Amino acid sequence: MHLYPSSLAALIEALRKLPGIGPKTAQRLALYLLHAPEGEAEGLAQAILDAREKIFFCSVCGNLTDTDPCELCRDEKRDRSLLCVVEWPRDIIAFERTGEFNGVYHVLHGVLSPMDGIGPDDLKIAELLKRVSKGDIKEVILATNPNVEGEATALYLAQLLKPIVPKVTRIAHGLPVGGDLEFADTATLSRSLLGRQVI
Amino acid sequence: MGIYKAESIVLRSRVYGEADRILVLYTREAGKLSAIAKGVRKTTSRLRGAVQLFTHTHLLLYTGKTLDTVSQGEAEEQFSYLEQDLQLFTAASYCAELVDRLTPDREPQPRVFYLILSTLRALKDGNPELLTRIFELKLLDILGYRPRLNSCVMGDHPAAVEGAKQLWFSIERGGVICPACAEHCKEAIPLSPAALGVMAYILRSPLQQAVKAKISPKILREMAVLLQKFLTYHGDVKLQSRYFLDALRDSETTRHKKQ
Repeated sequence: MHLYPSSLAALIEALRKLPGIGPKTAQRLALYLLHAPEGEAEGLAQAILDAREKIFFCSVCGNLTDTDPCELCRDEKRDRSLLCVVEWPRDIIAFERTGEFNGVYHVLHGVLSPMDGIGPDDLKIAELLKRVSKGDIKEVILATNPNVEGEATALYLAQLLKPIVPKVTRIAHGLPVGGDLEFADTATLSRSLLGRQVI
Repeated sequence: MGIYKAESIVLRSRVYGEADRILVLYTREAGKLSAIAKGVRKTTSRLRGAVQLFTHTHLLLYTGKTLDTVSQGEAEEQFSYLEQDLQLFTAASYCAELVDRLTPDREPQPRVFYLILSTLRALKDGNPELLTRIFELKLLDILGYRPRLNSCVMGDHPAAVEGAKQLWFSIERGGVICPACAEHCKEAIPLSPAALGVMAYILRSPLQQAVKAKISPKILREMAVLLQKFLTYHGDVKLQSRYFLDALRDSETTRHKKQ
């Protein structure tokens, strides 16, 4: 990219590495940043540096945080006997948005996937078992994604957890809100029958 | 090619972009191909059920510049038992990875398709370790790497192998070596006549029959080591899932010994 001065070319190159940004978008963003209002580019640069410096994983649950333990783990109002196991920190956000869950979380940081070389030792499973073996957890909810890898991970965890926790549960499977029976696949439909509830 | 139908098995599935997945499919009509399934991570996706990992599915695809896109799909069979046992899940992953690494794109090979399908079905009650060995041998056979087991690869003397107490195998030459020739072959590794017999039986029997064979763990282990070397040499592949497959088998064995 000899058409641009080298410092601008470097900026374009750096932006291009971001997910979802192609060469044209990178050029547009770089040119915008050059002419952005006073302080905006500096603010962005500082925000990136701050986030990189201050954000780390909570030593208790593995969530993204800037304090240790994280806000959710410190919250006295939360029920510490109820533990929800999720794949990624963003799944915590999804649950928190519902406002229905008042327990604490544990982030696995992935899911079992032999083809990608991810086995039990690559996930935060040892940390989970250590946390649970302290004995104050009454129920573990396995909230991995309802796909093949997520199911395999949940069942593997259930085998490990059942001897040491009074209650191990799996989030429900069934039809999505606003869905249509006609287009539901057989696996989803049969699970929605298995998990039917009295109204 | 425009719009086309493909009876497929989903070999791999990885997250792409916001809500899409890139699939590696093995299709009966067109062999292995990659396709993008858009929006399938959303709960409202109608396609979601049809593109889950290891699903046997009927898809409608349309040709794209780089990747084809899945436009419609209906799952034919879902092998839910694979999710319920880590060993089965790993065995299925290993077979899928092997196909992904060893077969070229878009070369129709229906025998590979049916081999994957019958292996996934047989995993329901079959011994996963024996099944992975059967899968390896049959896949090598279909792809043209069938090891020569009926006669010595050094010279053309069929009878020499029969009745021998100890045989030899050359990975590089791709077959058995009789004791007389083994002296002149540096790379020959020992092979028991029992393991040879099992491999020959697997190659000549249909999968559904071969999986019923009762094979001792010792012979299975011997075959595992041999086939692993064979695949590394001839297929030039090192598979991610192999490590877990072996680790799981070993932890199972120690657990049984303790009981």
